[in-house]
Amino acid sequence: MSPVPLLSAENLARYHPLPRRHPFAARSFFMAVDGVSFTLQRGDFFGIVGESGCGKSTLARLLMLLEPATAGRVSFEGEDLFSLPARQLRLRRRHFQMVFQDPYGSLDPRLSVGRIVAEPLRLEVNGSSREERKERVAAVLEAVGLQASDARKYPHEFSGGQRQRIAIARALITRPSLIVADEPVSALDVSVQAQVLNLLLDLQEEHGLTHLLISHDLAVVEQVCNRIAVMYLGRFVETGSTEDIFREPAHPYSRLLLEALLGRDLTRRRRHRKTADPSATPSRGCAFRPRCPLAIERCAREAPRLKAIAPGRAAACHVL
Amino acid sequence: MSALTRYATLFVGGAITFTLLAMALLSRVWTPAPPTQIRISQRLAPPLEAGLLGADHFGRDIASMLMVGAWNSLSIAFVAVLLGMAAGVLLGTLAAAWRGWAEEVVMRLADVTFAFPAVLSAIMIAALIGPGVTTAVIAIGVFNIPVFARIARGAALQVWKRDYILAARSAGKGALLITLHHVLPNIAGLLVVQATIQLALAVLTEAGLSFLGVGVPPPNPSWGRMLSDSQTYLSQAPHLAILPGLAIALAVLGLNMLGDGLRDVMDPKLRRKR
Amino acid sequence: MLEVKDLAVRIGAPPTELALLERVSFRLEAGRTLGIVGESGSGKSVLALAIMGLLPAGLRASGSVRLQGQELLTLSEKELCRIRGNRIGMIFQEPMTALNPAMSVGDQIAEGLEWHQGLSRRAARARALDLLQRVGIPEAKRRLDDFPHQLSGGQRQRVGIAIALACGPQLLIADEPTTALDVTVQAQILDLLADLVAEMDMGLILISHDLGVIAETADETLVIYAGVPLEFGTSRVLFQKPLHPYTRGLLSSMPGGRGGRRARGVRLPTIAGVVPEPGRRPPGCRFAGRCPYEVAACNAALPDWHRLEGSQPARCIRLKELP
Repeated sequence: MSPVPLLSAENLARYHPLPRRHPFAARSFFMAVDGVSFTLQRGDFFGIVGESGCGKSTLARLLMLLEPATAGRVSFEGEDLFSLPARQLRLRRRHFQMVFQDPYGSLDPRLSVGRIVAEPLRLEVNGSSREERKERVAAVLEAVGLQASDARKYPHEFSGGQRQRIAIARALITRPSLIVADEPVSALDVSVQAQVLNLLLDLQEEHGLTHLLISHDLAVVEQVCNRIAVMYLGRFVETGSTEDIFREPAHPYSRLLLEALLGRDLTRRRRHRKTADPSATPSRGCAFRPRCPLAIERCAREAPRLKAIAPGRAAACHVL
Repeated sequence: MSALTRYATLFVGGAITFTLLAMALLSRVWTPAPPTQIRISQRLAPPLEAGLLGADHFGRDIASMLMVGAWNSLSIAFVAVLLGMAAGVLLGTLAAAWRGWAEEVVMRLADVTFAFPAVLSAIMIAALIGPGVTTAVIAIGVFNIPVFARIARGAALQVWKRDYILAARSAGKGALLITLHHVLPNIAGLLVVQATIQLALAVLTEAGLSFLGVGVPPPNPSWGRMLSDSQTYLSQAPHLAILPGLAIALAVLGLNMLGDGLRDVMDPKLRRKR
Repeated sequence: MLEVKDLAVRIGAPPTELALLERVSFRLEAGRTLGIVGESGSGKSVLALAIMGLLPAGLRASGSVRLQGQELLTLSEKELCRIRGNRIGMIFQEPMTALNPAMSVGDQIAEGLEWHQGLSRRAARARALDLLQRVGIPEAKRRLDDFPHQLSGGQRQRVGIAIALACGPQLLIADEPTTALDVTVQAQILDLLADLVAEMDMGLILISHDLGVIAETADETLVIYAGVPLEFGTSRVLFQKPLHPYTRGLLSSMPGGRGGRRARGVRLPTIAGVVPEPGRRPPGCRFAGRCPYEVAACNAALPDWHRLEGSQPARCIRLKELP
């Protein structure tokens, strides 16, 4: 009997209407997220991998209810978040928090670190006194490897890696069960990336957190995630455990990504690769078809759905 | 560009503005001579013969008139710009926070207001409530509203795109509080710079209004009216026109330079330190 | 072909002068690629600007940069203009901002040809078409009059490469050319660069913080930390057996870095501390304070290049004793 998943998304979609060519033309849509479903269990470190434009950041914002979904549902601990009235939704927010990509843009330069980190405390059910807030801020700053006295300082006094720690501290302060991290280390130097990734792992162990990590960097995802979803143009094309996907990627796009990233054995020199121009996207059928070495006739007609190919693994491809 | 040249505009502008402010404030407690005192014996006296800067066609001391005029000009400009800024920033930031049709309505209202130049509005208002300080303040103030609304909205929209706004929304903050806590502090610098520039414009406009007779009423001295009165005596006593004209030009120059200087100084700071 | 000796870039005036970069020396032959690796604060970004003579006001370069025997640092702005875009081409990180959004792609490529080589507009356009095809833009003829915003990120970077190559430069400097691109596109761009370098017998200086990119493309690698080069050698050897503690730490801390894959969830080894800012750098070895092998002598003076038998030089006084 599997427990209620911590987070569950069903057919999440976000469409943007595109400007019509003329008033009587059919309306077409840009599908930033096109029918994504998955579940997150407590204790997971779930990674969503994809290149720019695949919709992973939009998906993160949909899950955090920072953007309205055009369709679908998000449930947290079994409760449908979209159906909640605004006040109740606000109160639920303390259970899931987000860390953003840009350490320079995610902290208000005009506020002190203490005020920045304390901001989510307003989500708490009971008010807290000034003293209590100060203590909580100090505790959470220390939990991320900074000092309590840093609360008085301002963001520009910190390096990129430290700012990201501040952002993580802010996400932690309401003691959430879930942290969604959108490219948390992409903007950081290599040597600092490791520090922040280690921190996320530590926090997961110490506080029983569940993480949802979004990244374009497969190496990062491989290092810390136990389950992965590969995203391409608004859809999940493959899901499964990290081990499975890395050992034997099923979907052609997953294979392409793995080759481009991890085929980078640092001791070997470059090999020639042939990849088609990614700027041509078909409107029918599988979005990956123009680049796919395995495409068959059916791929042009019908967009494949994500279906199980093995226990715990699913892929969206007609050929498998 | 060395530090000196970078701050030069700021210093010079600041110095001029400060001097004028000082003069204006001083005039509240002391002037070389009562500015409204008529001394026919001294009429049209050139500078240094009667008082530092001479006397006008009624024998009034020009230096004193200029000082009180400074107070009038600057106080009207200041109040008008302040009112316009308050209303404009309010409208602009709310438009940016609410978006949608509310934003459209606000911006179109701003457009409509732009269509009426301050001078025209002043004349219309004067027709309703008569000329005077209030008329000038209202006319100039109203014209400032769309200026600030546009700038505030543009700047606010840029701030709304930042991730720290998303973080605030994650923390459950509503649009109003976000505007108050995050948007306003981050656009404040821009607004201050714009305000100094609008002040310069306001001084000029006030002078224009007084010149036309819809501004500060006599006998209260006003630069614009001094200019207007001096027209008849242009050939006899050019100092009657030159001096107030110079005062206006100096005020506008000083305020503009202050605004430019502030913008230059703020610019590199706005660029992020990496 | 290119010889750099003791290049240093400083900011400010004595006594408050700070060195952003110092003691950089290397040689580059035609047809070879030199990779320059560094994190933020390493000074790698000013290196490219120093060679091109494009340092912003307040920064001064000293030392020697000789392109085919000609000293570049002492040239006048006018003479430098004749060399930039002509004998030295530069590719930038952000293809969107490096291209003029108001000019067609073809015009931007043709510009350099008309200016440096005096080609007529028609001849320059023809050559621009050739270049677009060479850098792999499909339907080049149609694209010639397109504007940058009509192209994808990868295509824009290809255009940037075409512009840099237009006059057949001897030296190509690429400053983080793939950082802003998707991974699958990165590979294509790197392949393209490698092909062009071989075909046109140019020297390429590739600057990046991405060790993977450098490892794949550069023949030799120079590792810079806090403004000082710390290790230099053949890429293959350097990445397989890094010697300097910084390089080793860097490679170990990369997810998916050297030594194959680590077990998932195992904490990555990290380098403690942060890169020191100019002005707050240790007086001796710049890596002091973060180095696991540090001894007191490390702070005495900046180490010279030390060499082990048959391997690459590194600035570490304890090179022989390191495990």
